[in-house]
Amino acid sequence: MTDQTPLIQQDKEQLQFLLDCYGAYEHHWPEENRVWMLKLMEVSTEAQQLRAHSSELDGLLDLTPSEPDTSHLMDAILATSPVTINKEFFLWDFWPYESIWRPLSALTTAGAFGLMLGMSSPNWIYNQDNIELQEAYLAFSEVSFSSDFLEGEIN
Amino acid sequence: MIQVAQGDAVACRLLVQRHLSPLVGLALRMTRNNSEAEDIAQEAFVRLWKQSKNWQPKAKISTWLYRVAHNLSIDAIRRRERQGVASSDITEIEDTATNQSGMRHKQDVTNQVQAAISSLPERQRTAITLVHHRDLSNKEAANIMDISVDALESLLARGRRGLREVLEDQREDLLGEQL
Repeated sequence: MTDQTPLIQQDKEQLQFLLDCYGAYEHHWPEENRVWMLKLMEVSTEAQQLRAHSSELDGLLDLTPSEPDTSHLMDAILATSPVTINKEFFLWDFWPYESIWRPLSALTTAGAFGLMLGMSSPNWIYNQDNIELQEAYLAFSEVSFSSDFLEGEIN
Repeated sequence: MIQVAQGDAVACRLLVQRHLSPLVGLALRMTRNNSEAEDIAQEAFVRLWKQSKNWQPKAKISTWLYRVAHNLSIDAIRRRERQGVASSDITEIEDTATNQSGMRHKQDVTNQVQAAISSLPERQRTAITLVHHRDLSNKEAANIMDISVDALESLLARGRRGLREVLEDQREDLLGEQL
């Protein structure tokens, strides 16, 4: 039921100001004023006229597309996303927590130590074998065959 | 955002699909430069990815992204002004769907409105874009622009008045087409 009587000046000014700011679309109106504005629209023809006048500009603004085609940017942006970073680094699958560098550095240190040990241990064994052989050879060579071995016993 | 931080591919793609175009649109309205607008949107997403692990659940992603894009756009505009470089690459947002011959007149109208929007001062353009085209509330828009609601309303009122004045001469033609 609309009322033909004009709006009181204060209401008119307030409504005009809000329509000037936010336009005619209800969902653009400030939350705190929306109910009041809708009520005015229901009861006042003058309020409806003000809204209709304001809606002209809204209609024109709607004609202008505000969202350009951006499909060509998708891949570039997704390439920087956490998905790509995670996929690039396969260890995340095994260590889903933060600070991957802690276990990784411990693993690297242990690995390096193991390699070093592995590289140096054969030399010890090799050297030890050589020393024992040399000692045995020397001991054997110092013994006189003529005195310690009886002829024929060597076989 | 939790899913994004955990590297959920679907969540990341959905997020970009939802926010990329509006974000480029806002940056383009502000900078009026296509390549700058695209760079700004990309940078905003890079910052979002970095922020994703420390994301506060209270924050709204769209508002956060708009705010970053808004600040980056202002930086770009100021940088351009300091360098004294004119925005030679001023670009309007193209609506490829309206390029057919039957839609030529509508395209003309669109171009006129677009030109009128571009003629507004940057802050008025931004305010109108955020409230009218992005459907943000006055508080969200004011928050993004780092101004009070009163200041936002002032920008909106002046911007819309400016548009009406610019478009007044073509009013009949424009409204006839619109209807």
